[in-house]
Amino acid sequence: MTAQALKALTHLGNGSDPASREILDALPVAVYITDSEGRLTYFNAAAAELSGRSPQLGVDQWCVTWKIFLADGTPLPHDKCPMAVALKGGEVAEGIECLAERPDGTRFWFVPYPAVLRDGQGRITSGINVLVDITSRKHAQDQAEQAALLLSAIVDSSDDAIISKDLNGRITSWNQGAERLFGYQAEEIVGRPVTVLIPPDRLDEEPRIIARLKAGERVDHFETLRRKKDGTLLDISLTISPVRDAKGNIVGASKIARDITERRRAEAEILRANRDLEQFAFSASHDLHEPLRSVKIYSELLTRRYSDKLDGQALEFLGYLRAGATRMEVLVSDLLAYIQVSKREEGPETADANAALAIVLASMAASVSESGACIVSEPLPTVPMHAAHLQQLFQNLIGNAIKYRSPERKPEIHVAAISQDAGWTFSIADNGIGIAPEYREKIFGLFKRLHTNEEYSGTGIGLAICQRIVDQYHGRIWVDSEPGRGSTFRFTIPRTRKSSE
Amino acid sequence: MAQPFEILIAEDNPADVALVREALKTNNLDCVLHVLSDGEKALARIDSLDKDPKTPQVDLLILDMHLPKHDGEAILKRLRSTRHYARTPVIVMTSLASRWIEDNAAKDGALVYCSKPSTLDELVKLGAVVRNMLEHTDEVREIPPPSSESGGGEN
Repeated sequence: MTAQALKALTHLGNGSDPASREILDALPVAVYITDSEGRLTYFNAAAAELSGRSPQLGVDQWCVTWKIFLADGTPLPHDKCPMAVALKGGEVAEGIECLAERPDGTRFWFVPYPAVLRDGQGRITSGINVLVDITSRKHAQDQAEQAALLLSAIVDSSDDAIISKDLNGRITSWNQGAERLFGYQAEEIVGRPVTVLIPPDRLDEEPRIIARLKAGERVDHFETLRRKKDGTLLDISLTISPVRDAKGNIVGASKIARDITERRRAEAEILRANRDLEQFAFSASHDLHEPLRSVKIYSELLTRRYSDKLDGQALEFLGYLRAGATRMEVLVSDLLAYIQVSKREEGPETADANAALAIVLASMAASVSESGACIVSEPLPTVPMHAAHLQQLFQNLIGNAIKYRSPERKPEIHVAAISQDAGWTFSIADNGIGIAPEYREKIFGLFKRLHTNEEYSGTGIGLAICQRIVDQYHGRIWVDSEPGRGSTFRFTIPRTRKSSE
Repeated sequence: MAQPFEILIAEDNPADVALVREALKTNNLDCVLHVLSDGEKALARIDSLDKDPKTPQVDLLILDMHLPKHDGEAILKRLRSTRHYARTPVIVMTSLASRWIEDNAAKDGALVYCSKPSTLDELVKLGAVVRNMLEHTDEVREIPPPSSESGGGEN
């Protein structure tokens, strides 16, 4: 309601003439009129509706409303209401917000626009008051305030630093997380250029970030270094988004900085631990081989040199000694291979499975021909993994297919791969002895064996190595089998390698 | 070939020393083995031999790379920097070949690498390597050392 409109309303006078009465009746805003004593002489339908009551004309004084309060909730007596103040010749502040209660207990917010009419001598003859309902605006305002409070509580409770800056790179807000992370208090840093946080050798990052923001782009999880107030450097991950005004113009940026110092330290530690473990395994396997070498060669020397002096049982025992040493040697080598799966392989991370299979079959030619195995392969894909790893998978799985062949028939082994959305599934199917259902998961564990060494030799590491390789590429390995008829080992290699680092 | 040969063996494992004896025996080589059981003893012996005016007293050094106190690398460097034994044949006997050994074997004509035997066949082969080195000892000695010898050989 503008001041002019109000003035025009006061010119309608006391509403006594029918024309102006008609206008007032039809107005969608609450209007009422009093005599100079404040007694109501008129109120329109909108006033009755807003106040929730029909005042008694000539009796009810000052207000059309039932009960009235100031904005802070203190009750306001009717004779102190803005209309009463105006009628008593006082000044009424414009736009004062009041709260009123209807007889039914509901409340509403309004702004009164009281005005007085005077006669020729300047005496107040009557008053007219317009009540503008601002309840919905008030509610929206409350909600906005609450949302803002909630938002600032969330922002402040965040462990991450949440900072906003304008397009000149000046800091415009700074949460408690930022205070903790960077050591600056909001008061000392808001208004300063964000470059105070950037180490001198990385200052070129800021113009690049600003350029991307101006283009409306987000900067996601940008890992970099920033400087604390005390000068120490922090490893952080930055996510920066453009902030737009109501019209959609980019006016600044919000920035979330997460401290990743701890994560970086942990990553470095894991890397170091892995390297140590590999180094340890390498040394240990070498050092374990050494005494075995002595055991092997001396038992051999004893057997050769003293066979005429030793009886049959002594020679048998010597045989066990050598067999034990040989077996331990294989175990140590296999264990080393198992640990070295995680080692970073050199060379390209893509392997032609056809070539990998050919290399493996060539290396196994002796055992293939000895067993009379027939190995058939379908055309195979090129997959995103190190060739050495794929070869190891083929080597172990085809080696098992030959080793665990049925005594009743020649081994037939079928190698294939199918392409799916997520990646490839390789299968190595055999017609061997098969695996009972209860062992189908166990066999992939380290040192898990189903047979004595006399039946089938082995260390129980081969499938564990396969599992470890497949894990490294975020794939899966499993077996389907029909005991007595054969097994099919399958493993998946996802199309895009997820980072494991 | 004057027998018996004088062989220095820097090796801390008595079992491996005994293997070398076996290897020599199977090849009918008449040798005197001087065993140095750690790196410190090996360096001291090399130093004292080099000061001794009666040279040469050693026909061959059999060297284990992993010795207590000083490793085979240090011992080989010391030997090659001596006045009298810079061209003495050396057999590096280890179970683990390294890049360093390969590089040196390629440069040093009087150095061979032989893996520690783990089978009787390998044992016989070790004996053959020793025989081969001893038989060529005189030839090796007759080759004049390179003029830069005072700089310390393999660098």
